[in-house]
Amino acid sequence: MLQMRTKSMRDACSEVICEIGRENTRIIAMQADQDKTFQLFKKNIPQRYIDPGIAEANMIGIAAGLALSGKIPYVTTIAGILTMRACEQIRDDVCYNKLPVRIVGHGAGISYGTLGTTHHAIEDLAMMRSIPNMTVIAPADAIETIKAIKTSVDYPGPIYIRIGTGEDPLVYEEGDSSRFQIGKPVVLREGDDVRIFGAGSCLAYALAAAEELQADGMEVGVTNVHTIKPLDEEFLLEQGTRARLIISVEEHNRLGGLGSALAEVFVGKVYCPMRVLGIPDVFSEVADREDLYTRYNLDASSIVRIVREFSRTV
Amino acid sequence: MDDFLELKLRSEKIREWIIRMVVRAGKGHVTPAFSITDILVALYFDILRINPSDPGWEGRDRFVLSKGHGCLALYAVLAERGFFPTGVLGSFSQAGSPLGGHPDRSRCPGIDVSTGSLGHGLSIGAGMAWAGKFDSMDYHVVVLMGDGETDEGSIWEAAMFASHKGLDNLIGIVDRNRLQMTDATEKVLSLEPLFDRWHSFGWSVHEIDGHDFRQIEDSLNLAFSCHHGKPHLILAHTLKGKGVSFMENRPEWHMQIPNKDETARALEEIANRIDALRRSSHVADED
Repeated sequence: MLQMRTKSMRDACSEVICEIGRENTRIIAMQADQDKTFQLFKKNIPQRYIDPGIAEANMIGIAAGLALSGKIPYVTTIAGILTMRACEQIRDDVCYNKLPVRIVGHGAGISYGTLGTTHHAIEDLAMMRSIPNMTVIAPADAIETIKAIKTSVDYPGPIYIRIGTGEDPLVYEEGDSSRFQIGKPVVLREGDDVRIFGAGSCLAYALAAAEELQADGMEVGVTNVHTIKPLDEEFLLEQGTRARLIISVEEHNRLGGLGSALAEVFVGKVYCPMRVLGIPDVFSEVADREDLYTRYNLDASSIVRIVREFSRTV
Repeated sequence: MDDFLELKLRSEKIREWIIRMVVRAGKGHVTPAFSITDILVALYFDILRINPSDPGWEGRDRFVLSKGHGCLALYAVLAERGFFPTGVLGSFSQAGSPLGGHPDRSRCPGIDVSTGSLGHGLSIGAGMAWAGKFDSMDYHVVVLMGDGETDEGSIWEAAMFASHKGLDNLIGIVDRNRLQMTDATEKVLSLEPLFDRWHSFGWSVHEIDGHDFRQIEDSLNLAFSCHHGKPHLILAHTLKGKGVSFMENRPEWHMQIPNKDETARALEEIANRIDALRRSSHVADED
């Protein structure tokens, strides 16, 4: 496993939520008996912080009520638990009512590693993106998390943002000033022999894989599709049409996530072969995150191996 | 003169609308609407601070129909109160109508929250009440729940939250008609002792006859004026199907639509009561 620069997305989230909370008094932060993610807000703006206890469904309902009263609620707890336990509240109370509730799920994908299957979130993207009115964002790293959350404040309607847990690999340099726009994918690396579309922490490994494949003489492009919904179809089709092979990588079940979303765009329009990398529709196992990345072919060397095999067969 | 004559007449008019709406549409929940009709009439014609020409007015009292399937009563009340023309009521459940089988705030003026799935309204109301206190607004939030609806665990999560936060601007009403869709609440999943349960969750509980306007208004006025750091729960004993004798307390009428003969009998019962109310008021006036 290659060494990556890392930075906690939850710590980044804590800083930025506190910062936007200071600037905008309509913001209310809610955390269901959790710390860290909204820790600084809790400490510095306690009057606008609500802990409803271990009651995720109630938390989302309350957030809907707050939004109906002119507030901009940011709510968080463990991604899988929040999106599953409170899925109906998210659908009915928040999305059906078209309310600006920002749902931050931490512990994206298999990032909770040894805590085990119940604490993983490999279905959240599928669930959240299938709800009308919902915007779904999976930032690449801590730096993009800050940009995504800053951008979310005034964005209309509900938003789901999934972030990692702790030692999340960095994709961007500290101080990166590139513009973040909800719905606008970012090309991290040019190359049309193979085009890798990714979201979240997977992108760090995709970039490392692309670098390694360069030695084979393969030009591998990497695109950060941080917004899973809505997708910029025109942009993605343009990229997909140019590529000779397409790979998608995500820390999610292969069913229903980024790969599925891209395939829905590409079907009947992009004719090159495509492989979807992700958890192969099994309950993710209990192991360290890095071991799980290897097991599910999401680490850099697995991506390299798969691209090589794939390019030989087509 | 009967203090509540106008409200009583209004309730009968609402029941008549409900019958006409479901007969025309061929669908709808009649009896769950009848049990809450008197409560809604008291709220919308006497208690709630609202402005039908400005439904989203910030200072308004909020109303959440957590038992969204009772919407027939709410639609008729909103129309009679002037939120939209009564002519719209005839479109109930038609394609494109603002009046669907459950209330939708994006389509129907006067609806504060879209509801349908049970167990959601009290959390939303608690959020509104918290925001009201935070903003030093003096509005109240009323959440009307079905008794069967309190099977849902989320209701009790919200009940804990509301008392923990001292949301005395939040008034829950439980429509205690003792029937849920398929059977008696006590047979499906016993709720008793319901008064004690709410009380033990830190709520100030008022038990009333939900068809007695004096009791409905007294309990609401008390709840609206008493800010003692506890949310209020009005446990309203009601009759499912109230107002049409052959529907009353009969689970099979939860979603049933009256046939031609039943419709005539239902409308006749309502008309007879309206006549009786008018006669009694004339007699009283002559005295």
